[in-house]
Amino acid sequence: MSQKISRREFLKRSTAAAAASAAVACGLPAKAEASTDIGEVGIVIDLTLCDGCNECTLACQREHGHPENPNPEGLTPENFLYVQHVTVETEDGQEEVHVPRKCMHCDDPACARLCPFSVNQKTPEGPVVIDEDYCLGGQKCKAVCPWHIPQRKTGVGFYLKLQPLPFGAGVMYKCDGCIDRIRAGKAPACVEACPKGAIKFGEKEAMREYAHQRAEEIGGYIYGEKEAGGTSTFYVSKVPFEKIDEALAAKNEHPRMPVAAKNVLDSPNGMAQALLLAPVAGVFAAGIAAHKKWKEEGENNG
Amino acid sequence: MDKILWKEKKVKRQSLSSILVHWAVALSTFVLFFSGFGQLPMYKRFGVVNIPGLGWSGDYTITLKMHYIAGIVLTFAVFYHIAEKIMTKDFDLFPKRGDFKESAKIILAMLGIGKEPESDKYLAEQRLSYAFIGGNLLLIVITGLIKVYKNLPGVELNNLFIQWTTQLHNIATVLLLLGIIGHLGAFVFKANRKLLPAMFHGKVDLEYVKHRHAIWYRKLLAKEKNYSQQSGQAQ
Repeated sequence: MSQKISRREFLKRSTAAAAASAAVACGLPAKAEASTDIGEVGIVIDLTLCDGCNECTLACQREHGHPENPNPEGLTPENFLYVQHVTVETEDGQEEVHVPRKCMHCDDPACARLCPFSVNQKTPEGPVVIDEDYCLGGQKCKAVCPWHIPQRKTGVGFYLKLQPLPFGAGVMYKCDGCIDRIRAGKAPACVEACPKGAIKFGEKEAMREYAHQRAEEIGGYIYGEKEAGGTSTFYVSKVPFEKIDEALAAKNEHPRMPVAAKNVLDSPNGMAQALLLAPVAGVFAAGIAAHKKWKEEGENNG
Repeated sequence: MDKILWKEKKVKRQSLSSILVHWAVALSTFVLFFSGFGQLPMYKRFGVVNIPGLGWSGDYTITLKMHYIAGIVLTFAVFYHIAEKIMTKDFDLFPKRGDFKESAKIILAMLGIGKEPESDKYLAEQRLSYAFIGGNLLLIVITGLIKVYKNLPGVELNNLFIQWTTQLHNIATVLLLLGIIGHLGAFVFKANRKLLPAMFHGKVDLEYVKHRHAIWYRKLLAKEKNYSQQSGQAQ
């Protein structure tokens, strides 16, 4: 089925593709180099290029001042990026796949939207950032995240100031998308550290374009574009993600990679219209009630 | 419409719509409290999920849906109430000058100190409590609507604005809880219990009205006299 696109859309896509190419060629995105008015950014993780060397993990740990551990066992409060290694059965035999995992930075992040104190927020640039100074570590963000990414560290944070009140239990930590680096015109640490160029960074739409272009080249698949209603992370793989998720499940790996992962806000958002219309309905019903009362008073007064 | 029911020795105090609005607000607020506290990571931590039949309370998706449904009921009821009061110019429940002083006198009188002042349809403390509970409810509804809006896909509001909206929603919730405790606490005093039936069948005892709501009673008598004069003239 052919799709018609408008001239504006054509120009937008062409510019985005050009920006993506430039970003990939230079290793740094054109948009993110400008420290002001960066716009939304995204990354592409190309699983056909990742060899699981864990340089990204180490770079992330260094960037955030965490103890260096080249082989962490998973995501922790001191390890925001974790590379999973799985063997996937394909038609051509077995294939080793290495999957760097971290926060996907959703377009409509349930973790941020449902934070009871709004201390987890989506930045205009796209990364979803937890305010470590005020997070109480309730783990709700972890529960509502489709991948259960945030990790709690106990014995730290604002809740200590609230004791002996029984509020809070620590601070939730996760990838902050290297927001400070992005605002300083740099690429995230993991992007810069990848020796294979498997993690690309740039203007979000350009990254989306690039992911599609790559998927087409390799006859592969994209993960993260539709999941949870859309994210800023686009994985590209020539192995179907269903198979990767099966392999992760078999190894009891966390986080999993469920295709078409749902956003917990989908269902309540279906009711939002009724809620936003409730004031109008209330006023309308009051109008009817008031009219009846006036009529009744008129009759009583002859 | 308020009127004396001589045969029954009662006074019609609340209309059916007022009773329905009151209970819609009360029940939805109760559900909102439960589901709202469920949105805080509390129920697992404090073992509510271990209470038989409440295992579901730790599931944020369930309590969030409950919160939205009860929110629809509360928002409808609050806007209905406000619009109806304005359209019918019924401001009996709104606080008046001197209500703080009069409330103190009423409370002291219930404790056996001094004489209770005559009251209109509502006691001064009821008007103050209405303003406090109603004000917090309105704040909760408005901030709640903003929170619902910001949850919609693609909506990006200023982060500081969201943070303040959330804090106001939470603070007003705590204040409302205190207000409701005070509201229910009023019935510790025997003198106030005579008002309770009005919230079920809309009527209160005539004798009670005569001695406690003397201003209102005189107004009802005057209204009745005025009405019978008009009827007489019409005939």
